[in-house]
Amino acid sequence: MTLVFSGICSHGPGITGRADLAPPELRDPFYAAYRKMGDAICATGAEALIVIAAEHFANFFMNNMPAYAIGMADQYEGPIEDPDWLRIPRQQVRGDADLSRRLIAEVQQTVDVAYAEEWKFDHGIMVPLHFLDPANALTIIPATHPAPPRLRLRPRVAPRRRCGAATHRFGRHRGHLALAVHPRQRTDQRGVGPRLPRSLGLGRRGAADRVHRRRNLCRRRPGRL
Amino acid sequence: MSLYQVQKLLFELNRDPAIQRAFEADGGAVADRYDLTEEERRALLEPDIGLLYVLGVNGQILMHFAAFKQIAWADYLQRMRDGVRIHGPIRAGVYKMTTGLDEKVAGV
Repeated sequence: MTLVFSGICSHGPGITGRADLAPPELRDPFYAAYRKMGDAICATGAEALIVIAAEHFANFFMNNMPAYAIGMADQYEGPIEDPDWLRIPRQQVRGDADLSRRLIAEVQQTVDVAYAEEWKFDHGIMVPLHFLDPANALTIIPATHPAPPRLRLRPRVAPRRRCGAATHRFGRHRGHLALAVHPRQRTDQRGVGPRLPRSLGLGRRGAADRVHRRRNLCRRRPGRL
Repeated sequence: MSLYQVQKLLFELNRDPAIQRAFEADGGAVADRYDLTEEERRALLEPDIGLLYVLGVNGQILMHFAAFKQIAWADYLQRMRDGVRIHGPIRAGVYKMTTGLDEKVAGV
């Protein structure tokens, strides 16, 4: 399995929910940049997208707050917010529990990562996906920041070793990182960004027609914005 | 003291349509499940967004609750400003205010 793309984008709920308040001359190029990023992800033939995003109390509370978590479900739903407020309809988003399990097993070698077999998406993930993968053509793997900036009960930055290990696995991120994974690409065909370990063995999965079908889905995505 | 309980109610409400329906049908019955002071209970049921803000509810929780209550964005911001004017500085949580709105810091 190879990482074929990495990128960072904004997720603020006003990007969709209060779009009418933004001057069009600022908003429209911003939307165009999202579409360009979505096209770039599609062009890699990626099948899965790891979204490392802020998590706004949609899943975790102060009774049990993981420093770092990855979702492990075949399906997610979102947004939790009032869909009329966010202007993104509530929907099911496809995941892949088995792919998550293999990623988590690898990350756990060096990082104290929690896993969650249930995960509701909030605007932190739904806003980027609204632009980057509106047809849900990609398999989505949600992950939180290593140090969620919710309550400053712990250091804002995770301990160096943990943070370093996490960034070694997924690349450095401080904003909201989308990582696209292309399971079919051989690990010696390096794409953009760091490689995932060879031991994940995802080369056995996927088929060329599936990649092409998803590429076509990307092309056919509705022009919402 | 029970800011945790206020936030837990809102956390569970924000993410669960079934609890949202129950809250709309009988907010008091939902509030009864949590260990709340009378002030907190009133702030939740009214709802008094400004007071919830002053009590220390995290903005990521309060914002979603305001959206659920169909409070427009500009109104939401204004209610928080009004809350500090009416109820005083934020008492707890990550936004706890250690100075008043008009208080000078180091003479500035």
